[in-house]
Amino acid sequence: MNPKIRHSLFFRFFLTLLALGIFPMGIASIFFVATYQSRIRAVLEPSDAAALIETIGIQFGLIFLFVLIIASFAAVMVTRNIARPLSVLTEAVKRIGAGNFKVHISVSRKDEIGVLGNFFNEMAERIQEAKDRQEEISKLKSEFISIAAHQLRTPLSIQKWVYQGISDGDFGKITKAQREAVEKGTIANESMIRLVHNLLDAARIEEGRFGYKFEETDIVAFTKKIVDEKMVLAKAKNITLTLAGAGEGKAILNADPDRLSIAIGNIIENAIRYTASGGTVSVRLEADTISAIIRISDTGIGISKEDQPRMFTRFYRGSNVMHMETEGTGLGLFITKNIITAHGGEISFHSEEGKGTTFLIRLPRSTTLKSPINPPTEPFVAAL
Amino acid sequence: MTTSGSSVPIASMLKRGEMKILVVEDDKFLRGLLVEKIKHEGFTVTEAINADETFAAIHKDQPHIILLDLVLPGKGGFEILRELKAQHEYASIPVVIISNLGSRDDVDQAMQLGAAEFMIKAHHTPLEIVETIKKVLEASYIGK
Repeated sequence: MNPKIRHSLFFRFFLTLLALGIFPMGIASIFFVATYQSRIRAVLEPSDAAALIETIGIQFGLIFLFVLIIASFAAVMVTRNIARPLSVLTEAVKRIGAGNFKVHISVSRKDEIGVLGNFFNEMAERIQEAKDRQEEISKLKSEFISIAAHQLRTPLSIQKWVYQGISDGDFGKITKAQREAVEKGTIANESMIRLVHNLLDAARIEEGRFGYKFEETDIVAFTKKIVDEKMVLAKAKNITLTLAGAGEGKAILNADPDRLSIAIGNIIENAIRYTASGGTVSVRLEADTISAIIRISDTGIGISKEDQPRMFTRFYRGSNVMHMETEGTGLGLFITKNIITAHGGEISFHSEEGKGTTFLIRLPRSTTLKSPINPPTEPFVAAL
Repeated sequence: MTTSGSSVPIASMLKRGEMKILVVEDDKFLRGLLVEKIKHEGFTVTEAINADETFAAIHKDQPHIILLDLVLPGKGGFEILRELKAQHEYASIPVVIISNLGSRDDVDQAMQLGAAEFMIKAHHTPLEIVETIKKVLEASYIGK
């Protein structure tokens, strides 16, 4: 028998009720046979006795049929009364499980099931309230970060412009030592500006306001361009930056080139930043009809086993890079991952400490992706 | 027309102090730094810190180009830009936005309203801003 039917409430009630009807019937028939059969045979003619016994048999059969109908009818009634509200409740709980807390079931009954329904409604309201409060707090946090970052930009611009003016000689001649001091100030200022920029991006990602504009993009030309752009940084650190696999052909995919260059630029910059002078960073592009894969390998310091699971969390920086003097905001990979995910792509890496890291970015070649897949992954302010 | 050929009239206008620029920026310190740099290049600079001053300055002596901040006391830069572009006689004055706002939405809105360039203060030096001003002037007055 179909296990779904066998395990249903209806079937169980039906069997129970049927048993309740049939047992007394069976006992009655046994008593009847034991008490009356021999006497009937003794009193009546054999033919009359046989007819009487047959009639009794038919009567019992009819009663059995009647019990069967009553049992089915009663089972249906009981099931409707209990199983229906249960299945409504199950459906409601299912929705809550799926994350929709705006569930309300109308309860008119006053019995135990009604009480359960009322408790359920109360619970759903509480969860919704808690969720609303959580969202409100999270919104306030990222709003606060947006405002703070904006407010920071003005003094940072002033600093930048003043440093620039000093080193341009706008405020008079400066000595070599003064120039060096100003250069140090400039570096710190630039890294603050980058932090503020990344903070704003991360806050926008979390608020779901990090808009994407998808257009048909040739990933081959795109990769060439971005590698070219990072060449200056690589040369300054005496690192060999190479590109392979980007031939003459085109590979069109749907992407937001500005956002994607932030994402892939971050990875290439990281590779350069965390590779010692004289090392190599190689970018490799492979494209087939389904996806384009960009592989970025370096001969850098690598990521330790303990750090690897947390690499895409915001504000997380590898323990080994903290000792280096390189600056980093700890937001780059968080932003990168969100951008790649919004493109329907995946990012992964494998790394060996002291030997190097390879990042693998896979982007789908579908050109139908019109609106971004945009669930903000994890609230970045949670780490604050 | 070659680039060097096209920049000659602007350079000569700058030399004679005929190139007029209006700088709308409410932060005194930033405005000072920027105006200093622009004056040094030979521009005749007028300054404004809000919408009223901006329009008064434009009515008094129409500038060749406007540098416009977005976050201003009272009426903001977006509103000023919209009003400017709605007025026939001023619609052709190129406007370069210099702001600390810089999200994609802000940039899109400014460009849609007719801004010539959008520069984020923290990402550009006054020197780069001056270069952009010259580029925009060439494109608006000579490139046509």
